[in-house]
Amino acid sequence: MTPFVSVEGLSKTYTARSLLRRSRAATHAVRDVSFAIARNTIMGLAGESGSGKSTLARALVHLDPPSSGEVRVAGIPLARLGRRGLRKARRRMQIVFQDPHGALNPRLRIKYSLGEALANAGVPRRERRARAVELLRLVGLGPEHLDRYPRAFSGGQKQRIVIARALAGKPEFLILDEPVSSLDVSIQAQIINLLMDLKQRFGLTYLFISHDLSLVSYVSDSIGILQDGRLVEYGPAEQVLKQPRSEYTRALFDASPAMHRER
Amino acid sequence: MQGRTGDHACVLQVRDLHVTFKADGESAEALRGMNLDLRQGEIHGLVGESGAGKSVLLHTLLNLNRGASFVRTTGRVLYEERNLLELFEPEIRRIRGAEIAIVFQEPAKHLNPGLTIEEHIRDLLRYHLGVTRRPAGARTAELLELVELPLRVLRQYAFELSGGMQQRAMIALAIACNPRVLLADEPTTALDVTVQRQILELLLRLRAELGLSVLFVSHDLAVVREVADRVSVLYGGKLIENAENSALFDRALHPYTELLLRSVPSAAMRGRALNVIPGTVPDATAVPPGCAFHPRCPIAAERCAIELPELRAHHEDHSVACFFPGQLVEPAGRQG
Amino acid sequence: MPSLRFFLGKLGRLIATIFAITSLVFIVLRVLPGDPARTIAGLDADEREVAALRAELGTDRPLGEQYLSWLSATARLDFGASFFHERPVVDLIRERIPLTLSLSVAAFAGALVLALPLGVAMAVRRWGAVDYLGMGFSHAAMALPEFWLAILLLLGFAVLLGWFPLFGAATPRHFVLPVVALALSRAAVLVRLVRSSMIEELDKEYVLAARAHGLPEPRIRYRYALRNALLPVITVGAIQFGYLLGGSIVIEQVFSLPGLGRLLLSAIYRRDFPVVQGGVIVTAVVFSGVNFIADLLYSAANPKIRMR
Ligand SMILES: Nc1ncnc2c1ncn2[C@@H]1O[C@H](COP(=O)(O)OP(=O)(O)OP(=O)(O)O)[C@@H](O)[C@H]1O
Ligand SMILES: Nc1ncnc2c1ncn2[C@@H]1O[C@H](COP(=O)(O)OP(=O)(O)O)[C@@H](O)[C@H]1O
Ligand code: SF4
Ligand SMILES: [Mg+2]
Ligand SMILES: [Mg+2]
Repeated sequence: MTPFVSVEGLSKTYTARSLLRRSRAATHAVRDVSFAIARNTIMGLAGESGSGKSTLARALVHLDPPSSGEVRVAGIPLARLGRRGLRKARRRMQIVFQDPHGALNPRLRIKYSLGEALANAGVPRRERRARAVELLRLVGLGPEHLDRYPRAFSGGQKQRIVIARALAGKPEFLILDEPVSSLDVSIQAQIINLLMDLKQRFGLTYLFISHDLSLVSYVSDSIGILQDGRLVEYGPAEQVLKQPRSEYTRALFDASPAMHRER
Repeated sequence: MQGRTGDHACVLQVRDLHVTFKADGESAEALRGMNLDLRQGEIHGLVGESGAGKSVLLHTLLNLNRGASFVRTTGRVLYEERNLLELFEPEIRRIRGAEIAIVFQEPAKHLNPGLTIEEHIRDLLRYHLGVTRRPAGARTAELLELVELPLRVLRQYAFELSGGMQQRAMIALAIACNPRVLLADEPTTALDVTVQRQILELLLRLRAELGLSVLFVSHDLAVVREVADRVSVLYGGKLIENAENSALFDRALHPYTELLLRSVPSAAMRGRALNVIPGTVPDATAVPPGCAFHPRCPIAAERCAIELPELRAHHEDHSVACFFPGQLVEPAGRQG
Repeated sequence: MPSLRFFLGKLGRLIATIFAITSLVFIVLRVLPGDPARTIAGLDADEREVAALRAELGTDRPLGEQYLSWLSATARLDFGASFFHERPVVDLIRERIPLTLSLSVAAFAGALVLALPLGVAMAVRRWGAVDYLGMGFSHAAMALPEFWLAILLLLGFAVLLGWFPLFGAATPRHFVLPVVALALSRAAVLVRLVRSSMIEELDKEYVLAARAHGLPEPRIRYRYALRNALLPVITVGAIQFGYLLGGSIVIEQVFSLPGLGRLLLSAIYRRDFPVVQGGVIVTAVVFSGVNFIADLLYSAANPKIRMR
């Protein structure tokens, strides 16, 4: 089976530019990362803060063009697409960020936030309201929420709305960058269940980024561990959990407190 | 009430603590009758979701609440047979930082950006112990050694240090004057797991070496399980369950505690849906009447919405505030 | 102390600013439409007179050449001679500037002495009596133009009460009213800034932490909060000093003080171009210098910048 998402030798380097000198220091945020995600599976990506998880996410969908390497989604190399092609392709892949509070425009009612996303997805005006109601229903909210402003929602509800918005263009691939980190424990479980449910129903593929190893262990079919921008561990979840190849992975798992000790 | 703790020596006792704030004109009761005993030498884990009142409790213990939105505190915080809430400023000031010290969640924000670590420590030593320059130097070095920081840190500012080093510096400040009680407000939440591990180990070691009693606040059940001797669960501004560590994690009696434990993901849960608590944590301005958990509780009965369940000893050393303790049935397929 | 690199960077910026100002003055006076020679000579002068004046001013030469000689003259502080006083402009400025500077510095110090404790007191007891009084003062002093305030002071304390002399600069007592007039206006602005900056600092977590460490309240306020609250005050303070230089033009007029401001103003009336040029450049250089000092102070007080 050909993978749905494949990443070959992806690197992203930031150079700090100052007025006088051209480049002072280069940050190799992501270095030569390769992996593949099969359709309708979840790849979990973990690593300590600053290890390059978010940078990898942005480079993957070419929000920040990678410095080198190739990304193929459904067999199509993203770098070959022009700007318009990339825009169209991006509908099929969406990023959900960690902080739901910053993700919604506080001055827009929910229906406009959703409407904008639906418009971008090419949904005709007449159908947008019905589609917005349907999206809210998918994430467990009702039509009565359409007219409210973001501040009227709790963190968990906001994250539901952000997920609904990401689903507007019927994407096939979602990058979830710490989707529950800012939520309460009891709310995290709600959102995780929702995400797993959506994945089953629509055959979605996820790149699931989190620093929480228990969570990554729970959701992932395959697991990658980033350290200083390098993918030091990558393989099927079973194998990474049972026999991690890198010393770093082992250290990480040993350090992370776990409710249920399996091993 | 004080008799309940029996033969255990308590360093800090909280009795019927109420704290009220004003939020958008509405009154918000952040603590609604808290009772808590911190025993000598224990690490007491306090878990609760955001807004449960964890930080407010710690601030109230040292009578630090103030500002325009603060309304009032009632109740007692007993320390060495004195109610800390009734002390005059100069009296409580001698206790703050010297006998009861706090470690905060975000060390970067809680260290003064304009002072070096050394200046921070010097100030503390000077005001509490009246220590002048020379002896301070020796004590400062000793402190850094205790928290495993290199001496160069003394001349550095908080922003020059990594998160883990900042938290170590914060802890050095907290233990500078040899306190009896350490209040830790989510001391590792902002840190990476490997750094979190180091800080937890540091706390455990300091407890053993210095005989500290620690109130360890966290929203992270796994962390509390690893470090705490006893655990209290906070919900809607009240303690709803209190037990020895393994008793609480193995045989939780309160439905909220039990559901919270079941909602934690792990590799063992793979392929199965997580258990979920419906609804959301109550806001301090609108805590439901009766049992605050009743709108979300799967076994709530009629009286739960009307009567307030008090925290009572269910059996030896395990108290719970619920009319039907331990009656939430095990979900099918949960391994023991 | 600021690192050498930081210092050199700021110094470079200072020099660049001064260069830009002098160039700007050149552009405004020589390049923009209008013929200085004709303006100076007056409307009724005939062509020959104007041409002679052009030659004397050098405005008949190519612009580039004019610019270079202008620059080199300016660098040597040679602003030419005053048409009216018929003396080198530098000498005139040198005579007048001490008065203006001491007036400004004294007023600035007065403004700080008033604004700092008042602003801190207002911030500490937000919405208390002191806060309302301070706000009332700030509103009133900001609403009144400086010259109006000056005239009020003159009327009250010099004319009616007779406590202070009316005009002139003979004794230190002559300076009290002008300094007070200038200081009050600047304090009105600074006090608000100190208050809001201090309120912001007092709400920060490190203040809570300092309290939790049991440090005494005055220590927390002055050593901890105020120190950090002063950072924005330094920057704005430098700008306020600029206002003071401007304000002294008017104040010197009201109190008949022979300062730089008065020299400039009368030079403008008399179309005494060399004096105007010299005065503008010197004022701008002083202002840039003050900003330069403020930058250094800022970096000395802010370890984050100092480190870079
Ligand atoms: N726009 C940028 N310019 C310069 N450096 C950057 C930029 N974005 C990220 N970096 C650097 O790249 C590295 C990786 O950052 P990234 O945000 O991807 O980490 P992360 O793994 O997502 O961390 P976290 O867990 O804290 O979210 C870091 O060293 C960061 O400082
Ligand atoms: N200064 C304040 N003004 C108004 N409400 C407050 C204030 N501090 C805390 N609260 C409220 O008290 C409740 C408990 O807060 P807190 O103790 O910070 O929760 P946590 O358990 O997350 O530490 C929350 O509902 C919060 O909004
Ligand atoms: S008192 Fe009633 S509502 Fe509250 S937890 Fe117990 S059973 Fe549930
Ligand atoms: Mg990130
Ligand atoms: Mg808190």
